[in-house]
Amino acid sequence: MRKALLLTFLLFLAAAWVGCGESTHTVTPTSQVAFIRAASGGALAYNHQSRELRGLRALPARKAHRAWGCNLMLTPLPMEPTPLS
Amino acid sequence: MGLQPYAYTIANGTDSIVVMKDDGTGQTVVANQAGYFYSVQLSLDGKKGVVSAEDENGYLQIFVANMANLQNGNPLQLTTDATDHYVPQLSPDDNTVVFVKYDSAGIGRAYTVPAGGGTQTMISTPDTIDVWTPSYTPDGKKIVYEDDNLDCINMMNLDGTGMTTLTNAGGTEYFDEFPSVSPDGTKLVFSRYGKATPTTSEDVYIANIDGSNVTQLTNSGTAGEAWHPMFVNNKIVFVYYSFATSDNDIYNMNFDGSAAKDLTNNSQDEYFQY
Repeated sequence: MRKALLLTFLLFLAAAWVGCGESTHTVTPTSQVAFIRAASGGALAYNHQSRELRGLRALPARKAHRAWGCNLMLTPLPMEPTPLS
Repeated sequence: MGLQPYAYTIANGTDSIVVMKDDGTGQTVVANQAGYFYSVQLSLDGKKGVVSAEDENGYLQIFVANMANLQNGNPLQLTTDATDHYVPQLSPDDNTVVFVKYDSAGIGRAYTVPAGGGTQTMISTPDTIDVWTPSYTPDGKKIVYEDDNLDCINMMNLDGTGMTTLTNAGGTEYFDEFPSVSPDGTKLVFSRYGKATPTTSEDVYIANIDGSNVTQLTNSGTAGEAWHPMFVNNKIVFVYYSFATSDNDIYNMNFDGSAAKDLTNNSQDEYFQY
């Protein structure tokens, strides 16, 4: 009986140790998501064709957009902008 | 409500940052017309958020915020050097941010910086690889990214070694972009459109983490484009661009592509990355 109790206790300890090891690596994924909302009236008309026209380095295009005050779809850049630096 | 200005080093601008649940409920403006934001992302556990925003000198800089304490402190600015810092993503343990800078030859390079501030470290990748939108796998051991040269999705170790191509090998058929790995690490979601017919719409696809069994989840047809998908908890969220309204909205759907729903049905442009 004592041996059985000791064996049960040791099995319990082993299971607890394994469980603790696993729990330290678990990250509970959030159900929250963050996004950008552009100001009303400033629609950027952004789809893959405009991305290809502007290239993915879109900041210079965006600066031009702000400076010109016009819609990017009407004024796509003819070539990919060069990096700023 | 919301912070204005979001941080004194962010240039004045009209973009807002909004947080909501993956079912669209509880939309909360956390930065109200507070700057020009290029991208935003929450960490896997949602405790931190990271943005790329234009500073007063016109450069994109990276800022990280404690999402539980937004009203009581400015976010921490992680980069200050006079160049643009793109598409930051937090590691699953919230300790590191991976992002992209372009070198003098115009090649995209992945960098890391401690989320608490510190030195930037470049991840060494071949000159033939143009790194874009790097993000950590949920176990924090790998980084998936788009190679903007071949428009394929790759995976690499944290030090840049062990690169494998997961989708669109050779880059002849498609433009593949915006990879995201499921919380259990078994699935990859991304958006794709055809190279042979570049006017075709972009749609969301899912594959096994090794790139096998690619399955189309959305079918935008001629009405719009589904792009920039991300796994969030038990949903896939993505951006849908409507040709009819020239407007981007945030949608969600199940992992099998069913029950797609517009979560931000309004006339304003909403997206995760400009």
